[in-house]
Amino acid sequence: MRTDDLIAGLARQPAARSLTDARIRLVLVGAVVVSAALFLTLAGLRPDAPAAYLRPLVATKTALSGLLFLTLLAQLPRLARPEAWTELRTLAFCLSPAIGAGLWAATFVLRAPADRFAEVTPASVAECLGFITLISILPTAAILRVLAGAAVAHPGRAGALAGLTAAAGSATGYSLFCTQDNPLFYVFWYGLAMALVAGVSALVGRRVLAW
Amino acid sequence: MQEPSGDREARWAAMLRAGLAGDGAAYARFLREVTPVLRGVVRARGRALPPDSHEDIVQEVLLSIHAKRHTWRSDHPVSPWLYAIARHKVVDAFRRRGAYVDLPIEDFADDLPAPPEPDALAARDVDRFMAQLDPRSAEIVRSIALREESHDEVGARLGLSATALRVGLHRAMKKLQALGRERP
Repeated sequence: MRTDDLIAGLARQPAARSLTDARIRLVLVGAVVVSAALFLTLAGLRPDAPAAYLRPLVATKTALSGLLFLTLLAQLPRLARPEAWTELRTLAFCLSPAIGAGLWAATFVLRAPADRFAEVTPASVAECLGFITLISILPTAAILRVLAGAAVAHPGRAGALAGLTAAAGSATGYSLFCTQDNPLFYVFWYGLAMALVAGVSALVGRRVLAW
Repeated sequence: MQEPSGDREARWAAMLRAGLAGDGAAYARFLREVTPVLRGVVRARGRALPPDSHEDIVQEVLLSIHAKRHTWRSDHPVSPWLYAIARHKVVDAFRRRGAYVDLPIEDFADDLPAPPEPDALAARDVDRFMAQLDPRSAEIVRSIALREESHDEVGARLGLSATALRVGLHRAMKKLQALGRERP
């Protein structure tokens, strides 16, 4: 086919609705809210809610996850534009993990050895990893679906960031149910859960986000 | 002569914006203006591929631009968006054809429009091939095909009859074409 004919053919249907930043964020927030709300409806909030949320270590648990979610959400739409990869300010993503690491280190120093990892049992770990992953499924699928219709420059890395954002939002919701208030527990295991979701999302992204 | 890139950026943005809103004529103009830029880059980087696949690749890039046109935001510049898509697709197209290419984004920025049909003997290639001809053939080709001197002049200078000159030119051109086909 001659190139001129191809152009003439393409120009017969030129109109297209732009994929906006707002729509990308809305899809992810919406999916996180739906998924977390569904979980909390079935599993319930923690027994000592709402008073427990005022305790500093409990509030920090939700705040740290929420902060990571918001810092990622702010820049997530850049993944959808092929030229915008260099616009990512990855330093912003490090804020929440840095605070978390500091909190972990401080808690480790301040607690007696017997009190540090007492909560770590197969059951508590499985519950934490399992539920955060479970809640993350819908938001991860939703954001990958939106990004698949975009032009993502680096499918694997974008998949990882998208999954991490979904997991951070999901962890925020999960934290309202979770009764593990020791930072040595939640900083590490929430972090690991998010990393696992990000890893799987990267692998899926490599295939689904390619174009 | 190239126009200032700012003017071209504004023109492309206006055409694409109109196209996305439904103006087919503006959209076609946009694609037609972009095509020589793509052709230039593909030709410049596509030495490892046969010339007939160059236009195929250009068409693949145009199709991608069309498929992803909704990813351009009118509040962002067109050129970076366009170059990012084109570069992604060109690298992909080369890779699928077994040719790996290093494609810096500057290739698109410093473009010169390329002629519509890729010719098998670009000027630079001719010099290289001429060096592989014997001196007599090279002189014949240079005089007649490149400098366009008359047959009589050249024949007189080289001491060849008209027939011998014609045959010599014919053989030299065939040799050049053979060299052009087998280039790496």
